[in-house]
Amino acid sequence: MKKAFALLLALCMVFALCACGQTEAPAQTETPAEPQTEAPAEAPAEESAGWAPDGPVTMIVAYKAGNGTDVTARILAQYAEKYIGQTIVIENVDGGSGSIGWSQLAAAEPDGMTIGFMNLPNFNSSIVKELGTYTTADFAAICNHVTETSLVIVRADDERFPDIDSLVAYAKENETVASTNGAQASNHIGAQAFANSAGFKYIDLPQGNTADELTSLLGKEADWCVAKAADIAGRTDVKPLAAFSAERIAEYPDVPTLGEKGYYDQWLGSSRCVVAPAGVSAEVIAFYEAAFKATMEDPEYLAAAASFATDYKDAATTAALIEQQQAFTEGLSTGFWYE
Amino acid sequence: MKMQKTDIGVVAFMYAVCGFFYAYSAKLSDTSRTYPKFTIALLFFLTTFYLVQMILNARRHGVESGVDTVFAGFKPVQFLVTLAMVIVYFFLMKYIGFFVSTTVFMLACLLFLRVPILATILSIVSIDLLIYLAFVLFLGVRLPAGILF
Amino acid sequence: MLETLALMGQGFVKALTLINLLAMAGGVTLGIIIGCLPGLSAAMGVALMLPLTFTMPADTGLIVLGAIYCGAIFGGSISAILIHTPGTPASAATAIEGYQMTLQGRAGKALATACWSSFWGGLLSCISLYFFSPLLAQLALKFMSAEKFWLGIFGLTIIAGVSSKSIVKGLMSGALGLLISTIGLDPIDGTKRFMFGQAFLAEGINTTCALIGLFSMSQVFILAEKKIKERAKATKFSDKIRLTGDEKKMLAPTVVRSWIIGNIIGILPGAGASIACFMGYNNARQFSKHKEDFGHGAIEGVCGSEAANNAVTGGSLIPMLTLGIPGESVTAVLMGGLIIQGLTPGPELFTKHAAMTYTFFAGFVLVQFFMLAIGTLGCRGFAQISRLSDAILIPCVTVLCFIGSYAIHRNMSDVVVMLIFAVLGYLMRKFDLNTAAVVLALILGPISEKGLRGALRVSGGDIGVLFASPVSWVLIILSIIGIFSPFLMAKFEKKVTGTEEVVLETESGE
Repeated sequence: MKKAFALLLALCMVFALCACGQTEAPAQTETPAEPQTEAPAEAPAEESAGWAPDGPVTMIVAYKAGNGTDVTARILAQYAEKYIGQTIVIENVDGGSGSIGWSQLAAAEPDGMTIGFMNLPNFNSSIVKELGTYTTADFAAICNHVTETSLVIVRADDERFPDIDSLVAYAKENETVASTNGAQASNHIGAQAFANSAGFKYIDLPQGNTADELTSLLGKEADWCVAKAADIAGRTDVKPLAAFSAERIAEYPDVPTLGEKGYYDQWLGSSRCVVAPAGVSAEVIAFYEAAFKATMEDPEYLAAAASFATDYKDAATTAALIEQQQAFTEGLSTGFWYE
Repeated sequence: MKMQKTDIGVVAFMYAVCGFFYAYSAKLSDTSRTYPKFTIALLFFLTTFYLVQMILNARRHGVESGVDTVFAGFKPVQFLVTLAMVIVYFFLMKYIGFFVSTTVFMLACLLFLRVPILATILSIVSIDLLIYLAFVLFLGVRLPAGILF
Repeated sequence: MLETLALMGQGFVKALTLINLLAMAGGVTLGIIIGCLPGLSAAMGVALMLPLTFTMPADTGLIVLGAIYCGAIFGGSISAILIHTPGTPASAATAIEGYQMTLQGRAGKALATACWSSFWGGLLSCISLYFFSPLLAQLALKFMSAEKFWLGIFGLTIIAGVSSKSIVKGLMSGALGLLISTIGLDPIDGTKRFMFGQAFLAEGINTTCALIGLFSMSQVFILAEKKIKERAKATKFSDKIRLTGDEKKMLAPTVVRSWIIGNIIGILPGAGASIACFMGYNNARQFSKHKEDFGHGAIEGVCGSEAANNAVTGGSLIPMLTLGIPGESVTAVLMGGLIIQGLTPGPELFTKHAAMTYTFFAGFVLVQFFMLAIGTLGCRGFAQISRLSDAILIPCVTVLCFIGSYAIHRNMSDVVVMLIFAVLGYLMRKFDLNTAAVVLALILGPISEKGLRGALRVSGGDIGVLFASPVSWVLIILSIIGIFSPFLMAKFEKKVTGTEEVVLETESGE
């Protein structure tokens, strides 16, 4: 018996050593192969007195691997490693419609080693729905990564709607169905804002995610829907009729804005921004802000990120955006939705 | 087929579930409540159908305890200790971390079930190694890490 | 037409390069390992490998992902058979017969059957991928809310078949599962239902957690309550692993039927391998000449389940590639991978990028052979696990269950859910209720509800919408047949054989 215990104690020691490796970022999976450039390009923009991470950085993505946010996050991370000077480990913490991931981020140590992605307005909706106990004050904005503008979309071969006005005219006379990516989710908010501003009522059909939403449209169950530009990139079976933006968007310069046509004239869409738990020092924020800015201007990154709309915004602008989206989402309750 | 007394427990449990969820669903809005009400009704109806079946069986073939067949060969000590160890394992894992609690749990369990020492050690090593390689190294799943790793 | 055939041929040529072959072998092995570990799903495996494929040439990267997909769907059967723990929900039905076979010392045969059936299911599904993609893709577009509702209903009628003893108890289990599936955010209104204040339940009870608890952790409790069996000495291991010619002949019709079932389920968005395996199993049971074997280790059951779930792999690629409609989680990840490589799903894939697409298809076909080879090689080795004594299995399976349910969301709450279902599963199995029915209901309940409420929402409450389309009627008829088939088959057999073949526990039975 004694021999057995001695042996076991030895084994435990071995595992102590092994499991220490567990806290380090495991090398293979999370780190895609380094990009080909050997020359150490631009040095990370930091003064010698500035802060820099002293180990692998964890970025929390509040959705499953393979999801839209995850895909864009991984591309950013892959090219940002050069500027951050450390490996970036993407951690997918999905569940609770994102609230689990954001809760975990809010509770993380504000030492600059853990940052993450915040999706607006899903994040704001999760607060309004009380899915998590966090508020906007629990996060410190670093920068914005992707901005996707919402578009009103119909089937490409739908002869009833050659333009947005014909859709509005039709919708006023007939009942139309708009598929959405979930009850009160971003595309539902868009559809509702559009319908309210144009003065017609419609039936919403929540489908849980954008892929099913588009399928519903293609399958002729829905007449129109609202989706982001990236969701329909390259597709020829749907056509955008109008954009929820102050100015025409680059991907679709021929598509008018809703404002131009006299309907909803604010920006609506989704943003993915990088945030840290509240309490991180200003140096930490400045460091990441600069590093990600450099990444988003890096030509290699831009080549890889061609399929989505990178939109760098600095920390202050991003913080304002988060608050604006929060106010917007909270203000939606009175009179916005149908009973 | 004789009626089994144990089935009384089954029926009671199902009715309890129906009642509990029905009461809880009172908080929901009407539209939201429809589908749960439908499933509760379905469960209720099926349970009642089964109850009727049971009673008819009892009349025709008589009643038997059922406990004998269901719990034949039941070893209460072995079962309860194992159950207790599983529960303790859960709390250990939550507060102390994965590898330590797993090793402790497996050690305790294997020794309790009287597995020879060599097999015990081999199993512990294999499992710890398998999990480490597959989940930690390869997949990068961050395992619960408590006070100790 | 000739051009297309030429392209297809070229695809094979390109797929047979050394790097691609290595990718296939590596991917399949990885996939099998991921599949057999409970808690790790095929989608997770594909998603984790996705970033690594960025640096590979596009076709190699896709082949790797496809290989992992197929391997994982087969791999789930290994743990399902050996320790009654479906490694992925796609193998839940395999556990029913497979584990019984293990208890009889026939684990090797079960594994070989699973491997062989998976191979044929996957290979045959490639036929539809090559030749019927555009046509079959249209089927996906016919599948709207009303049809989803009926698919859910049809799936639930399977419960009648899966219930081996008391049909009523099986239906009760299903109803219980339906009730549990309402936990979470209401899909139409967004209101919280039965969440007990827990945010993590917003997306409902995680099916994998419930599956692990109901099937595997409950098995631990069942092993723990009785005398420990020392199987190494108990059963003679003279198990002939390779399938005999006769067995193959007997299984062939099952494979073909399961292939069709799985292929179609794969095409339909929302349904997936986890539903296909039950349908394949049930179908095998309905048409089997040895129904009494079911529930006691019938290889037809293993075959039906595994052929169907692998047939889903080829089928699910069809709407994703042609229409950009990912039918289920793995294809959603694959689609993400395609988009990053600059390849938009749609007609372009078959014109501008045809070369790469056909190389991928060819790779998919070759992957099936690798899966057969690697799987069969591993059979004897894996089968040795069945000789482990219960005493060793109890803690090992417990650890796997814990970490499997934890790994889904890296959240201890999932472990709690798993344990609750473990207790429920244990009690259910002791008292003749049906855990497979609960799993089926958990998967199908939300699909059915969303379909029903969505359809009624669009039609403004008019029930007629449920009976409007031909696809709906096909499903309705299949459902009716499904409900009554046990009775019909019994009556039919009675006439043919003159004896009462199947004993049904209906109180009105004479």
